[in-house]
Amino acid sequence: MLDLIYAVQAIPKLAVGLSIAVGFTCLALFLSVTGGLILSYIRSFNIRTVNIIINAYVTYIRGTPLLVQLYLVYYLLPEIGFELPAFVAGLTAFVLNSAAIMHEVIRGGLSSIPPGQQEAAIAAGMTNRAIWRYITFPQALIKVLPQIISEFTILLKATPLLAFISIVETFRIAQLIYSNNYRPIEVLIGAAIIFFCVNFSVSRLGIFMEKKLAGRGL
Amino acid sequence: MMGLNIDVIRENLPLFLEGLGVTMLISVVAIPAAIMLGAIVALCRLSSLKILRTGALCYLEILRNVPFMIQVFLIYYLLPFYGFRFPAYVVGIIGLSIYASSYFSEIIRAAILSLPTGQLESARSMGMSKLQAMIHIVLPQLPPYIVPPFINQSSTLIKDTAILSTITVQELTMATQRVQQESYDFVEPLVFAAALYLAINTIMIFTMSKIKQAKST
Repeated sequence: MLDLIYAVQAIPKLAVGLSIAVGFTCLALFLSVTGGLILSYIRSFNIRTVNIIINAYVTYIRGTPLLVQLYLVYYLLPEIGFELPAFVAGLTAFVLNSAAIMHEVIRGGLSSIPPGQQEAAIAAGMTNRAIWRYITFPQALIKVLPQIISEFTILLKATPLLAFISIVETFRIAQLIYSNNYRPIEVLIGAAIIFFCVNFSVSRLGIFMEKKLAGRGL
Repeated sequence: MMGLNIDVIRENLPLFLEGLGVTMLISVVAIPAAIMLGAIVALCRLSSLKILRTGALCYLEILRNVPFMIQVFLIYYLLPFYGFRFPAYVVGIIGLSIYASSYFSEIIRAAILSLPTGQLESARSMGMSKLQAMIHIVLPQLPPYIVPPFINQSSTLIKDTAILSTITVQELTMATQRVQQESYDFVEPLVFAAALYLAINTIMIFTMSKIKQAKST
């Protein structure tokens, strides 16, 4: 019989793992939004070779599984001379993955801003940098905020993969617990419950913000 | 940095192809299964019965907010617990179909909702049952709305098959790991596997976009 008391017992330990995963996700998301912004900025110069390279990078990220990307970074870094802890390898893989997605999201946000605004700014004598800083960038960032929040849940749901490059997070802790008490089903249900609580709240926040922003006519 | 060693890939090519075959097989079975399951869930969400609507919503929220890997491991342990002993790849297909059905169902629901409501109402006033109206009026109009997101979702599903390597399904990622363990070459097999995944996804998106063009002209 299933005995859900094991699920309840496991939750405090699993929550520690989940808090690690949430911290990891926040860090990865912050870095990848920054990366996505830099990529979009570079791309706005329209240099052909640079754009081709960025396109190839995005195609690679979108066309291969995150697990393969993760293993690749994990094994490639030592080969090219970086002996880094697994945590850094995991973070690198996640950021490389998410920055490509964020880049596309931000690019979509930027292109949704009417070109008339830029033209008006040029006519008003603003420099390119000022236009980016004061006109296009803040508006685009607000527009893509709901998508950034949904990327948070996507990344958080991917953190169990980190267990396979020996990072201790929720799933690894779940495995450790059920290798002791032989109750994999209950422990995994516990993990599912806490993941559900966090992701559900975050995605509700995203929907709420989307509605709020829509109300402001953005 | 050392150069890439192609010999590892040439020697283990059969293993890679076998893994690729399993990945393709799983995708070919799981994509239609997920779409059918998704269609049922979408109809439940649009049903006039509250129980069906709430049930479908719970199903979706659980599947979309719990990591796929935890779902797969749960199914992997749950099935034998209730006396169903399947090979790992069948468990993988079941898990993947259920998980992806939540995404396909939202695509189908959004497409149905995007049709003008007047059409359904007039079909009903002509004496069609709700099901008849769905089959004869709604269904034929759906393809242009659902095909592009279906392509995207299918490509996501193919990438998600890599996660099945963690429950010992002998697909492409698992084959890659076997080659790594046998050859002690860690990078080259992964690069080759990534290229294969990229190739499947590119070919699929390309053929699907051709189908789309052929249909729209």
